[in-house]
Amino acid sequence: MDRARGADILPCRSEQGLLIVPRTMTPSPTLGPVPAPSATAAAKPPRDFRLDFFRGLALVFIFVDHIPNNVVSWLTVRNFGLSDATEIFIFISGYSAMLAYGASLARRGFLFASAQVLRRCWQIYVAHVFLVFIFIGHITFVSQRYNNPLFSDEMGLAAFVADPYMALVQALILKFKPVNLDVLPLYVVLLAMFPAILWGMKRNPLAVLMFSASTYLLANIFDINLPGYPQGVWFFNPFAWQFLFVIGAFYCHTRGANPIDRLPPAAVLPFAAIYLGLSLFLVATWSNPSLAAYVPRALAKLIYPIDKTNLDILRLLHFLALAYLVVSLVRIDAAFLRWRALKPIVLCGQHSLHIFCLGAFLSFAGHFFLTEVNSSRAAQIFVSLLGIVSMITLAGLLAWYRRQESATRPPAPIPVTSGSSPEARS
Amino acid sequence: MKIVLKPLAALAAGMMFVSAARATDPGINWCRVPDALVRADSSLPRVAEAIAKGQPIKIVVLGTSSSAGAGVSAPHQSYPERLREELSRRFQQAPVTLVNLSQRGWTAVDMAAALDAKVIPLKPTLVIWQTGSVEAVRRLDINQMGDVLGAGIEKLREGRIDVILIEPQYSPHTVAMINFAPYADYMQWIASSLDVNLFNRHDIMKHWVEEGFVKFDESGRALQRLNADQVHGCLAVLLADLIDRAARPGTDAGGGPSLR
Repeated sequence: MDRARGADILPCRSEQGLLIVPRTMTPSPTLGPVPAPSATAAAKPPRDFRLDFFRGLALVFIFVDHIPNNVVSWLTVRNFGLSDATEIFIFISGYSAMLAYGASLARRGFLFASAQVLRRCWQIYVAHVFLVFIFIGHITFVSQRYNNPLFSDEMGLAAFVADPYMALVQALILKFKPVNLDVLPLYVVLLAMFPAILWGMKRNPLAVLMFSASTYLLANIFDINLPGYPQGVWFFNPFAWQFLFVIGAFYCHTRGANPIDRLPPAAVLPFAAIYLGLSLFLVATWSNPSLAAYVPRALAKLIYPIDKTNLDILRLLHFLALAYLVVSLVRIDAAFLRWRALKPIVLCGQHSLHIFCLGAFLSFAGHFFLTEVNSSRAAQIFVSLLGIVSMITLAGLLAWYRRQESATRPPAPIPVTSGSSPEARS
Repeated sequence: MKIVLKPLAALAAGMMFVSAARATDPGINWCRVPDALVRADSSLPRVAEAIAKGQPIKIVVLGTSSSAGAGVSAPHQSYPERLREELSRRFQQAPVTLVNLSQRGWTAVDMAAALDAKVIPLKPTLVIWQTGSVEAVRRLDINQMGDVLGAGIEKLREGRIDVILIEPQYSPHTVAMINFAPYADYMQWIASSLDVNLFNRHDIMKHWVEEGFVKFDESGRALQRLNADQVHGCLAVLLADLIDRAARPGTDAGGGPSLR
């Protein structure tokens, strides 16, 4: 799911907008990010490194943002607009899911593609449960070490502290989600329903998009959400956030042929830029209350609260404007995507599940360090940099391992094997 | 054995006393926070009227265990009691009384449900409404909290009662497992959209921690109590400043917290 490796193997769609995969195109046995030279290399569409790069960037942002009281988090995208790294991550996930499983669907049929999706879904679920365990270790320590009655509400009422055994069971069914561990459960649900999206996209992409939009609207109007434990709801409402995922999938499936791509950029870009500018100002008023006076009260009443749980329409629009701007400015062959200096971020984006999990673990470790050892600004910067270097190191190791693995593997007699689908691997 | 333990215990007690004394060093006026953290954005017409006419000011506090006084050494050390003392001192012509209805584990929904039966019959001048803590801990539906809070504030104001909202507490240790930000932001928005004052308890406590004025990682009960007393005392002074500024604009509450 995480890697759009399909991009360098198979096109998502042909010129006619259908999922057709040329039979002559042999998937490269090399699964590394750099396609190995082969007879078909010239015919391959260029790999879209933008997906890897921006997903890698989103993962770094998520890590930095998840360390509480971290000065470095002022540099991340959430401080410059209404949407944040979560939107980037979910959109790119939808896009690359369509890219990889759409190709798989065309090549191996619906049943196999679905099996691949569900296998990936299971991997993410297992990864999430593993992270929950790390979280439990962390908070068990914190709540016992800092058992201060001044915070009896905060400590005593936390679900895990109140009833750890039940919380474990509830974590397994994704009802109990520790703070900052909400993205993977959302992802699990999105992938679980992805076979249906895949099936629909093949027949009528627009109908899928419309159905998804209606679900989003209904979820927002009637506040429909999945239940949490011990009370409450999912922090990322899947009925709302699925819309962004489906937008990603739709955009991948119809790229080049959808209305947005046909519009002249000169007609859209000014609006996108103005909206992004206004959002930037609005966000600036949050940290600088003296600016808030410039936001008319009537307008403030209309736009607030900007709800993350239900993917507020203003957040969604902000992300779409941002994505439009970025896609217009950064073409698929943009030179900077191949800069050596940015290669580490691209690598992180190519191993996103591992890097996400490591980032979640490191954000706990970072918080631990900042509260136990030193909480100075220098320590915050140090912890952030060390974490990012660790993420890059792991990504590099994974890429190296995969290259070694595929180099030692004997060439398969039939080129198309289950292993050739990038999404099902990693 | 005792002969070894006794001096050790005495030494430990001595060290505790020394560190406690350092923590309460009166030379460090750590209540002080930047003015931006204690902003009176809205007026308190009922309190202002009571002060002007020398009528009694009756305050009702609705909150969770942090308002009920969890952690302090004695009930009279909690911030509501200290606030009553502070306001009595400042508004000498208007007697201040206070009823604290706070309960552990109370949500905004619970508190709103108590308005008709318990709060409004008391005919308060001012309701201090501290909430968002239990919601954030249990990750309750934020929109539901916002709806009942908004409706509750409207109801109080229809009953000619002033309102001040108070945000959840802050500690560097709780933020790892509890995400207060969305709840605190929502309360901030409700306060500004309904034109009521919000007491930035979260940001104030964060300021104290970041400036190194207070730490919440001490493990001895005695020191914990002492620290809690001080936190509540300082919160009471700052809250009194907010009320003072909102009810007596122009007089300015001494240009900053006045400590005892």
